[in-house]
Amino acid sequence: MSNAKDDNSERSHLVNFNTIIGLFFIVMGIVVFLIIPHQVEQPLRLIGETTADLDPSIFPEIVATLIIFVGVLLTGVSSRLVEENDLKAIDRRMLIRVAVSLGLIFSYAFLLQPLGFVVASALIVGILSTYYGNRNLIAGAFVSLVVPLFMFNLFTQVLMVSLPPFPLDLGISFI
Amino acid sequence: MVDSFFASFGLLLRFDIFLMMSGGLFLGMLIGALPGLTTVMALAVLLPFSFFLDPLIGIPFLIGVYKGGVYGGSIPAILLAMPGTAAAMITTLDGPSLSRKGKARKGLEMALYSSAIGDFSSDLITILLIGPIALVALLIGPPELAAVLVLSLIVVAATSRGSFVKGLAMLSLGFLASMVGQDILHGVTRFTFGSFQLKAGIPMLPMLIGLVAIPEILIAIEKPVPGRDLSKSRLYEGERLKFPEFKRCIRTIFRSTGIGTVIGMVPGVGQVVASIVAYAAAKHASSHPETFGKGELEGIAASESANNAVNGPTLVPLLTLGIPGDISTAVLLGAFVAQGLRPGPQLMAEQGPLVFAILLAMVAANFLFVIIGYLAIPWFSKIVTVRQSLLLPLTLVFAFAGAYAVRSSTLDLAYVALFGLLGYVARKIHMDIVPFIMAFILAPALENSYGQTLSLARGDIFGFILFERPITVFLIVATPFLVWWFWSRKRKVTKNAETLIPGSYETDTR
Repeated sequence: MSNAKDDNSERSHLVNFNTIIGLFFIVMGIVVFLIIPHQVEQPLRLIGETTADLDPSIFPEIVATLIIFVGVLLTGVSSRLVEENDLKAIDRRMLIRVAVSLGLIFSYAFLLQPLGFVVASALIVGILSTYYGNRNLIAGAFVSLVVPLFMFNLFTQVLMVSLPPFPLDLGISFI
Repeated sequence: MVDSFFASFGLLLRFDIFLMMSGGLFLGMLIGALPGLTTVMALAVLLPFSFFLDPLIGIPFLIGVYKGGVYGGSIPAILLAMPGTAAAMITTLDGPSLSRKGKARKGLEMALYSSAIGDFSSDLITILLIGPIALVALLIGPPELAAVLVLSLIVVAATSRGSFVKGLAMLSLGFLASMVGQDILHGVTRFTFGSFQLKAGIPMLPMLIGLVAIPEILIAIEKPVPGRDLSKSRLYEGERLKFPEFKRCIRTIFRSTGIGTVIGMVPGVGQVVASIVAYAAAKHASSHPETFGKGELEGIAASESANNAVNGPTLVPLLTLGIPGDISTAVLLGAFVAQGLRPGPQLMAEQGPLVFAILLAMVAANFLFVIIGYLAIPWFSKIVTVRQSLLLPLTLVFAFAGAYAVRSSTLDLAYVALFGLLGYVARKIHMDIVPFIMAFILAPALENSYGQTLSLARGDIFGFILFERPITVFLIVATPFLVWWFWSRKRKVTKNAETLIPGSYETDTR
């Protein structure tokens, strides 16, 4: 019984998250090799002769080989790497906090143009700061509005760089 | 070269240069003082600002942020036992003990003066070295450049956090990402999957902001963020540094400056290693080593002068060969390129006065550094208690504004978010992003020099290298030995760091 238990722990130690990463790299390298003929454009040919001295596929093939080699190496040494998989250490509460933050970050990326910089940024600062524990709503509201406004003016008036305007600007331009 | 040096004085004497540099120093110190925000994050987020400024204003501004950030990290390290930046990690050994004894101000002033002296001395050495190294760099051709790039990248992988193999893995991913878009040699498209947007490749700035800034935010919010601890906001008060105390540490400051300067010239090694090695050397050389770790001023002097002494020399490989030594100089490379200056062997020959003007601005910045640092200590000391619940979302807004400003593209914001997720996962599985970024930035230069080498070789690459390029042969033969040496030094430094601060440095693996 104890031998079986020892065998299990030895097997789980032999195959760990680094082994999976190594195998992933091997598969990725093979995939890159397979897609090179379809994804690397060939240079112009004149009367059957190429205009380039060097085949454009060479560097991608070298990189694909390197990826496979590194994958094999990582798979080989994975059992000797002394590391904790910190992804496993993320508990449910942490996962929710990270997932919510990522969701809001992605939303911010896609709403910046439709809503305008100031409105989108005010929303994201307000929502995230409250979610992260700010309970002083007056300070939160002040920072949510003032900082994006300040930044909008800094970029557009001082640095002469465009940021997505207020929705109001669009309304005014139609009058 | 001498003519360029003297011509640079005329370019430098402008009020707006010093004004922006002061702004950069202040911002850098502020951001360095804020736990959770790093100097690299500040550089990545502020990089777009420099695009719209004159090169002689924008680049010194970023250099000011860089210098200020390295010092700024020592403020929370001394007051709160929490380094604001990784470079200030060793300062936490003695700083908090001084704070507990009511001598925080003494520690902060020692950190300021040591940082300024370390930075100033190494900047002078950089100016002296850069001319001769640039002249040597002009003699190297494509085969030598390719060999140097390969050596640098492998050293970066060997000295990255975590295992060497994982560093190589991230290096290979960086190469893969750099190939998306148009081939630098032939102009043909690669790995675009029919997408028009991908023809331009993956833009560096959003990738950098995503990989550097977003993971820091996500890691900071994993657990509920701490509220403001007002009891710490007056810790900076207390005894001031006396001249005899400072004089006692002069030898340590200059020894540590030397260590930081040498380490700064090597790609991939950086401020953390410099401060660890300098601290260990100071303790070893001291007549009372038992006081180290208990509020010893020499400990702070060693750590801070070494980590700031790295700042100047890291620019040497960047400016002469176009090889950034770490992420911070990789960001500065982005600033140079955006301004139409291509760092490399030709830069000193074509833009010598401008380059020397930037270096002299760095030297002048050290005087502003002392003035701003001294006056702003009370203010920065209060800043360390700012609520992270407000700070982190604001960082996100800054990051997105900067990423959007360059091309006004929503796709760039998507890149920030995607690379942010990638950077977060990479941190969790102990894969360092530095080799990825360095490979992404240097791959075009490597591919270009490799292609040029093959053209020069006319089909006989082996004979060409062996019989006509002896320097390349030397570099190729030396590469495994140098990589092994750097890797073994890194393991030794990691063990030292673990002895000094258990759990501080990712333990080395095979």
